Amino acid sequence: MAEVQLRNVQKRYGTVDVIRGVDLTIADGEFVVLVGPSGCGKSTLLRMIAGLEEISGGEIAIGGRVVNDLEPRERDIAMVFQSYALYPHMNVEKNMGFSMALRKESTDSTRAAVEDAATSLALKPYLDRLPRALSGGQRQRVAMGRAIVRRPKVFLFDEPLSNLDAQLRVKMRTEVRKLHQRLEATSVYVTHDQVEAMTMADRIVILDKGKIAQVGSPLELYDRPANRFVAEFIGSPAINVIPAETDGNRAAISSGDERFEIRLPSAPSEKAIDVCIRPEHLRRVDSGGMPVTVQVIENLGAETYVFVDVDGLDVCWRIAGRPDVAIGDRIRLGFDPERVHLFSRETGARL
Amino acid sequence: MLVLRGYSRLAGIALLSLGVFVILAPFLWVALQSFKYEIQILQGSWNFEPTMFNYVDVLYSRRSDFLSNIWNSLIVAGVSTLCVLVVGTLAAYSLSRLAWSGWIRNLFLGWTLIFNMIPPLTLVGPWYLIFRQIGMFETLGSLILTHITLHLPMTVWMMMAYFKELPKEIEEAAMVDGCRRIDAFWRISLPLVTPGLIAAGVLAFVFSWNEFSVALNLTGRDTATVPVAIARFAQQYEVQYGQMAAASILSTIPALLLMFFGQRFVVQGLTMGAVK
Repeated sequence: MAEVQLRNVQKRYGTVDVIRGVDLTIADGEFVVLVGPSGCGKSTLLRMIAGLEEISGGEIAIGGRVVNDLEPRERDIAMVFQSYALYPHMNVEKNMGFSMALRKESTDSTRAAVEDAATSLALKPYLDRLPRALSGGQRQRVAMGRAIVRRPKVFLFDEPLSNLDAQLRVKMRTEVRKLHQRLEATSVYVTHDQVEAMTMADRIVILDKGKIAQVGSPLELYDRPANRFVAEFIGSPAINVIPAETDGNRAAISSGDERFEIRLPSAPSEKAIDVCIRPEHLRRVDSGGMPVTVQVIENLGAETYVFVDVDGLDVCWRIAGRPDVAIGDRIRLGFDPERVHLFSRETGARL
Repeated sequence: MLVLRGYSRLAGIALLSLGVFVILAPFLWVALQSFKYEIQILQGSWNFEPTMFNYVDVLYSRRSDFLSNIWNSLIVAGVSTLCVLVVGTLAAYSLSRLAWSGWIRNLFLGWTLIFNMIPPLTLVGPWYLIFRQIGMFETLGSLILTHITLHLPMTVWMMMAYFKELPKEIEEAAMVDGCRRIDAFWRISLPLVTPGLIAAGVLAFVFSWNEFSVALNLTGRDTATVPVAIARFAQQYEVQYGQMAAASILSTIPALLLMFFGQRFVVQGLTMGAVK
């Protein structure tokens, strides 16, 4: 097991900067999730750690050893690919034992390691099958088994669950997490799914256009996003962003013909700001607050999303249980000033 | 899939039958002649007693070299196919997997196309001079070299299609698992393109087996290949129709066998990437 260090890591394709200076230390045994919208460079970064992409600048170290010029096979890593990348001409047993066969380990120890992994992944009955005779979920588990048998310093996952259907994805999420708790291996996991990131990570790294937008535990990111990008990316349904003008510690929001003011916990330094509030932090009030019109109601059973209109903006209000409003109702929504996040409209930075 | 009904179905069957007839009729006619004596061939008689005389004469008579011609053909087709497969597969792998800059790849592929575009006869003259000059004229070696040149482009193009179909991740997974690039090629990619190797091999072998114009000009009496030998049955004062027919039929056997077993792969190879 080992620590992974990225120091000012850069990647350029010709004149295009894909990774623009990433500094990150992943502790021994930590489960770190790289997350971001498509094209943010998360997969590229993972492939650079694996040695499948050249590093244009900076340094990557695994277990204290700089690996920039090492081949993938010399880095002592295992990788689970989105497409699983199983060897189509080898059965499950050969697929899982391939790395040990390459190291010329004895057939007995290889067999034992493969059986061990197969038992923990419920693959024992399928050891003789070829990958094409397996279901998507089984293939995915074989890919994981192959990584386990490799006994690497670092596990790399490149969107391993995105080819599975929704139900299986939720199940495998817990499986991967359990596996990590058992093996205590340093793991880097790439996904575009923020729910996966929130549920699996010890720490989340949010990437935006090749730079780290924020690093922190899932709840840190949720409760105190460093910028508007992170605030909008984390949380489902997404955080409500309401543009406002400030005057001292008051922010003015106009809704239809009405203008209303909210009191801020402190006076921001900029005039044009975005007031962001999570859907569950809105509440119905009798007076004050924002006057809104109910437009869409989405019932999920345990909770309800009510979409209302504020000055032409869609705002989501999340209620536990069933709603007591109907479409077309004029109501007022308020919130606790402590719960709002304020960001500069120009730079998106937290104020 | 297109489903035909009623008259269009009848028309379809008629057209197909016509096609099969056009292709098979000459072959069957030659096969028929091969079982006739010379006189019956010249009379054009349909009513005859089949004889194996032509076959026996072609294979065993003292004035016939046909067995050694077959041997020559086997060597030329076998060795040139082997070389073409080795070089072509490595070239195709390199061009489809390694980071060559675009102009090198295009230049190379353009150059290989030229060999398919100009008629081989254009090259025969220069080859004749070259091989005379370096003392390889009328040797099997010279013919093998020219067949490699002629059939390499097709092999490179076909194998490239197969390598392109292989997901890059499979090799990457192997490299993460502990393979060097060459191991990943040898243990993972190559086994997966075996159908391609069979298809390209069958085609290269059959083309080399049937190649006439270059062989006619670069081989001598001892090194003549089967197509050249067949042509030699037509001499200035006598055309041995029966022997010619028998030799022709015999010469199709290896190609027929190969096509029979390799057909599945050849069709798959030629249409690769056409859909999907």
